Amino acid sequence: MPRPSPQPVCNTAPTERLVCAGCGLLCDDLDPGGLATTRWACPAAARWFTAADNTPAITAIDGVSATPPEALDLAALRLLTARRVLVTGLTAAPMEALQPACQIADLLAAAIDAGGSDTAVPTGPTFARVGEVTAAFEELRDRADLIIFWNCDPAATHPRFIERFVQPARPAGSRRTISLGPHPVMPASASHLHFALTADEALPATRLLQTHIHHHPNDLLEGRLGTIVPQLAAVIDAAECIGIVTSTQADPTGLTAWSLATLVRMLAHRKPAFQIPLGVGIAAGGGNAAGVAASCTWRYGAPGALAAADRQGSLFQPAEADAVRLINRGEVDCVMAIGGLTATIEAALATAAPPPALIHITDVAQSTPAVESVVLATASLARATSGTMLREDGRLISLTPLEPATHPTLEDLLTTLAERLAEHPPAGGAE
Amino acid sequence: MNHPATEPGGHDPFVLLGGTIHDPANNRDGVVSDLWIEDGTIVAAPTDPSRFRRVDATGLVVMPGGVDLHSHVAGPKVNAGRRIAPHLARKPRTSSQPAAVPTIQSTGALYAALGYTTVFDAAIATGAAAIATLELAELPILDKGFYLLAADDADLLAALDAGDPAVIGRLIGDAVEQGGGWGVKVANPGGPTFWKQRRGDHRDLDTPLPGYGLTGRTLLERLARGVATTGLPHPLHIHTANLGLPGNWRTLAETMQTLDGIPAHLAHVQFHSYTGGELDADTFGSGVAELAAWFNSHEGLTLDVGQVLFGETVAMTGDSAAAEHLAHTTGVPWHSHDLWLEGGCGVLPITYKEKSLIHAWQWAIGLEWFLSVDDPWRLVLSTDHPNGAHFTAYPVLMQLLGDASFRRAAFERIHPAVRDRSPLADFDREYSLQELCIITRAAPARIAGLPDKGHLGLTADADITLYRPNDDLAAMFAMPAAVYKAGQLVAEAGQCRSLSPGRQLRALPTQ
Repeated sequence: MPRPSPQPVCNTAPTERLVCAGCGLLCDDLDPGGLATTRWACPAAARWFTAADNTPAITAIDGVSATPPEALDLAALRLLTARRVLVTGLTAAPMEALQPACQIADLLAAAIDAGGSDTAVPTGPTFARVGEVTAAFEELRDRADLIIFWNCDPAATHPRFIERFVQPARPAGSRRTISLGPHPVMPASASHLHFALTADEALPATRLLQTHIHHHPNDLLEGRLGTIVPQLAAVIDAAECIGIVTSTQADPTGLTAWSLATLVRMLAHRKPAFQIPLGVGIAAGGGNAAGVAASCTWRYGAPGALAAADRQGSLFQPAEADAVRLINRGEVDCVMAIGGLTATIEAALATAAPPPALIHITDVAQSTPAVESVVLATASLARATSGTMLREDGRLISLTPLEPATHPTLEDLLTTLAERLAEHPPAGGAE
Repeated sequence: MNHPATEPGGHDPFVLLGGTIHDPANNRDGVVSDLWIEDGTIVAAPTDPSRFRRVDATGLVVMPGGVDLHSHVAGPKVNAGRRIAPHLARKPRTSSQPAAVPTIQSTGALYAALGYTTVFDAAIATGAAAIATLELAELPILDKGFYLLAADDADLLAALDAGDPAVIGRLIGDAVEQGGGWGVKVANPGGPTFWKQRRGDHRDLDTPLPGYGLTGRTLLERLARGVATTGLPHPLHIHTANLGLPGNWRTLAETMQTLDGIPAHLAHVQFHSYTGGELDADTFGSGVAELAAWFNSHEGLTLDVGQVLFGETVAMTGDSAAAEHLAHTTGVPWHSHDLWLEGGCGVLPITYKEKSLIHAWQWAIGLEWFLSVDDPWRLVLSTDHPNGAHFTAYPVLMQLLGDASFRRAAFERIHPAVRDRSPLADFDREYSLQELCIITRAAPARIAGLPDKGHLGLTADADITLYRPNDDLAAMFAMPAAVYKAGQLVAEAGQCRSLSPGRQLRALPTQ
């Protein structure tokens, strides 16, 4: 007998507290009036909250409206009969919804793309070979008298990062900022210095700085880098506490990450210094990339890019078992996606031949290139989600729903789907 | 009648018939008797035994479920440990070698298969308590709790500096209640303040913390009194300063003297018992004799050893300075994270080698502690998992304690300089089964403040482990015949039979 479908719940009172899960900063300091007046704090917040103003998702099967029980049944069947399932889009889910999502992955031994910064680029070896010296964002704000933006652009990836954690005055005194990269990340001022570097120069600059700080004679110091590196080294020498803000976005080989981690570690052995490795930010499709990575690590032993979910330990295969590559290689025939599809996954689905079946759990209507699709409509992710998410620096942030849920919440839907899957053996009959 | 090996799981009432019971808390030392279990607890023999399923335990050794008082199983530092040594964090490399930092499910299953039913994570920052709680909720089978690094919190640190006992007590209570902790731990008292202000560690307990009038010594004393007056079930859990450094036995001695008369638990004392000068191999050695003499004569203190066993593992600590020192010395991968208004953590892989002078000393010093403490009720078996060794190595440690010939054979393999200078060869003491039961169950439960665990008396939790007697103690303790958690069969013959959830242990402070 089919189980009753989850009913819409309205168990939360509207509240004025505003937490934006539009990126991994999880800003919890927003003006409560912002929702009504659309005076958004940043583009990420605008996109996150106004998404709920778009056409709400409708529960549907292959583009045709369906009842929730019908859709859940077919979703379960397609998941169970798939050759290999990919679970993705988890960054939009709070920690509490990750548990049923992972239960589904466990049951199916599905691949998981956690959507984090290190699933699509080969940075994993850096952590295992060099390590990482990091700190909370507020430690950067309150302690660092020198902040270096190393070939990253927080304004584009984490729009309020500078406003919240760099511009506020340091309690113990002044601070200098330096940016290295194609563009200055802050307006020119007496306390901000910019060194123009091309993307190709980021890695050699890091290595040259290491040798210079080691006080090794350096015959390679010539040209522009020969000017920049000694200046940087002098500023670093004079600083008491150094924060180096980095990004993995423009690091396709992972070599710059390796070199930067080595540089920071070298400094940290001598004086207070740490790296602030910014993650995917607004491109992740949700603010809980760090939470998904943490949850996958304690469940599977690795932070995402898992070829097969195994609670005894799974292999971490960055730049190998990420969603886009799995779809492009035709290695998955069913994708369970949560929230809005990211542009890269949407593109991969559009070009896959044949396209995998799609189980899409979402609050907003979105055209899908999948031939076979089941859409399970959920409550507004931006406005009706409760629970917690993990900020990119590891701080757990509580979400409070702004309005009652008018559809089943993500946690409810995933729990029901997991229960339905558990009722059947994974190798079920053909559809 | 069922035999444990054929018995189904479940919560129905049952009786274990004819087992050889080791229950030190109730003065039963190898007594052949029956145990009646109903609703997850141990009950009196009923007037109507017919509704009790009968389970034959004849010939089996019956002990309470193991209680690990000091381990690291959850939280951000453990996750970092899983990532920093992926070659040690995957599926078992061989059937007998589990991952150094297992997944949370494997952690529960491995502990249960070993006969352990309760575990405490020894170091969770207050800011990480919520995420650790989410993770621990997925740790199956075992009841679990954690100690909060409350003294790293800026507010409590300021209160400790001001020295008002009422404020200190209130903040401790708030931290434990809000964080859902079981107790309070201090890792390197005052160390995070030194760490954040300038790299390197302080070398004594009497240097004021940067920006404070408070010293490590006053911090320890005020915090231990605060924990005692707050009414927490477990006294202050102390990882004192200078972990792993030559000559640090003096710091531990000063720590014990500072705490004279105040209840406190000293964690992983092996790592704090070294003689010698800085980087001086000739003077590095054991300070256990003098430390143990003091400890034996001062009854308010308890300790766990933090035994080192040889092999690969991952070190993880809330003592950032200690991790940095080790990483700088060895060059191994190093993860460090500083929390806001709190301390941080350090994580790095490590391989303990028999032929390493330092590692051999650590191994010998740990065993010397076990063999030097007179009262086993004040001592807890631990490896500070995974820092000294994996918890699945406990059976080997139990054989080292209970079998002097096995210990002597192991001693012959270690670094010759340690063989020449360590007093370990002079110890003939062998732990009895009863004493092993004390240091793995009864004592840790009592020290943790768990009145319903660590014994098999009436109303105790029916956390029970059955072993097949074997002169090879490592083999005996590695594979219990059956393990019951709250009266449910959860493992037998080394195989996990249930992944039922355990309880989160939270202290409810009374003020």
